[in-house]
Amino acid sequence: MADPFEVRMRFTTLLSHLSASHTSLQKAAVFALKNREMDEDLHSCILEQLERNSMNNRANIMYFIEHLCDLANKEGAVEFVRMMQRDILRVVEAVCPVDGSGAANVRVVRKVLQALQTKSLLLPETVSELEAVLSARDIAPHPFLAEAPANSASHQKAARNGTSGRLDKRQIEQRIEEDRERHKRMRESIWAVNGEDDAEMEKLWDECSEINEDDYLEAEEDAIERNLGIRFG
Amino acid sequence: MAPAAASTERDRVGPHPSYIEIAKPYILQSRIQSCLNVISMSDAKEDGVRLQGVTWIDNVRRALQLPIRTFNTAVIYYHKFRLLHSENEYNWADAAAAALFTACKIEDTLKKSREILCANWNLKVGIGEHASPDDPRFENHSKLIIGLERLMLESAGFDFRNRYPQELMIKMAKAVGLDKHNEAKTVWNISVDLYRTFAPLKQTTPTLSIACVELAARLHERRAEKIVDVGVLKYSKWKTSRAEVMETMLDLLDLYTHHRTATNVGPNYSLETFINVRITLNQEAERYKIPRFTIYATESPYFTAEVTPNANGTPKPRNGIDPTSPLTPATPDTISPKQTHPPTSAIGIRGQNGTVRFMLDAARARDERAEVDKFHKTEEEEYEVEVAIEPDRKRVR
Repeated sequence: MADPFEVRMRFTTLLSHLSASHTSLQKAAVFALKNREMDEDLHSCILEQLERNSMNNRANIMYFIEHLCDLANKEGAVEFVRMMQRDILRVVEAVCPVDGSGAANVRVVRKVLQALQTKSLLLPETVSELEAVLSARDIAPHPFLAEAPANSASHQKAARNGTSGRLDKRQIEQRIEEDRERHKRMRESIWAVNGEDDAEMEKLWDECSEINEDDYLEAEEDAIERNLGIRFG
Repeated sequence: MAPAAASTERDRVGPHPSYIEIAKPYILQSRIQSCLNVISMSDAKEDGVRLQGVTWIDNVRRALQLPIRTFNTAVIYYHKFRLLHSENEYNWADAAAAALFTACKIEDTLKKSREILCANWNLKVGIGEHASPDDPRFENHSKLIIGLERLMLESAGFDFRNRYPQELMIKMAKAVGLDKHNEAKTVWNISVDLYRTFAPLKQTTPTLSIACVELAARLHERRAEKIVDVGVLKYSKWKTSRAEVMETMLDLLDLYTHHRTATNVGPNYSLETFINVRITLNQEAERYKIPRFTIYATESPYFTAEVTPNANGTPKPRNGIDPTSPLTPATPDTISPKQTHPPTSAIGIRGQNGTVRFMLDAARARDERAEVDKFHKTEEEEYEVEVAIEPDRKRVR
């Protein structure tokens, strides 16, 4: 039985080091599932990190939450999902705070909320309520003028004018990189189909055209090719 | 007396003509059987490896959410690879993984070899043991798979023209009026099972599609007159024939009657159902004298050998491999343990003596050979001539 303190520590580290890479999200989610007896503790870790880390990291945690709920649902660890449903407002508050500093995260939050709704992990009413909250947070002052968010303990630099600008710039660059990474991954997986065959078949059924001249032409070419093989094979 | 000079390798002028490996988009049953005989693969063993491998590929591709065309391509490569490599040279699971890896690249649904191995691992263990793809346990295995990729491509002759029967099949199913939610699912699942047989190596896309649609219709007790060679499925439109469709359906029924539980559709019907369908088709085949398998022109009783320059005494090409090259099943004498040493290339051994070139166009390869042979083959005629001067060594073309 793993030491609870150590598990919390490890999980916190995993969360604070989340990146755009799918592997980092997967690792953290699998870790949480492995230690599901401590689900309350781990959930509070998530909330804690959300309220402590940089805006970028909070965005990453948001994506992670989607991943976690998905995996937890599949593996029957409903507690994680339930707790997340209970605290979803707090999560949204943390990722997109009132002062507008999380404006860059609004799109992230919307996307994740939609995904959770599609997977029936959040009720549509909840999502629309949260939407209302979000639209108020959508406008932000210029990012370079925004106060640096309350950083985690390791970044104890005081958020002041000059230094805050530089901190933000690095974070902005990092955020750009991570977004780029995420978009790339999204495009890479554009062909992905649901593991259940029916999804692909139904898509093909709905989208296929009528049989037409091209199909007959291809048939003819195929047949010629095959006959050549038969004659000279 | 004219001197008889034997034509040997030493007398060859110019550079080695190189070996040409011709890609074969279609391989018929007799060729498949002879390939398996050459590598001493018994039927039972081959069945087992084939079914296990295809199931492996199917399970992993679903876990990775890969589309069906990647599955199609992977299985074809898996089959072709196994026709050339003796089964004690490699582990079938490795071959399956390598086939899937190669197919992913070709069908533009890229997956790292680690991701494939990781997906397979995660399918077999509980959530507590799930790994992520960058886990070091996949390190060496992943390299092995990448090494096998080259052999996969060679076995397929670098031919990237791949068939994707499901698209046409769905169009046909729709046109014929099968219902989307029930019968269409059967058709789809039959098409996946189809790749458990050798049919996709032997038949054109329309043949495969028609066969799946017809078999599904029969299983759902639709009337055969509406389906066989009429309307949308008229064979002449698709340049296929009853024999080819029948061959494919019988291949499928062989699978369903002997390995019912190892298939997707099999468990949904009783053995008796399949046997009954089979009996009906057998009766039809007998009545109309439909041959079980398509044969090569050279195997037909009506075949008269054409006189070609290299026809003298050379064996028929095996799977497109140039007959004058040292034929290899690739088994070297010392067999290394399969895990650490990947199989040697069936092509590579010849590559030591001369270049191996891969071609897609068989006609072009033949023409080249005919042309090149004019310079390399010395056809000798012996005849006596009484002349005063010293006889030249006559080269008669």
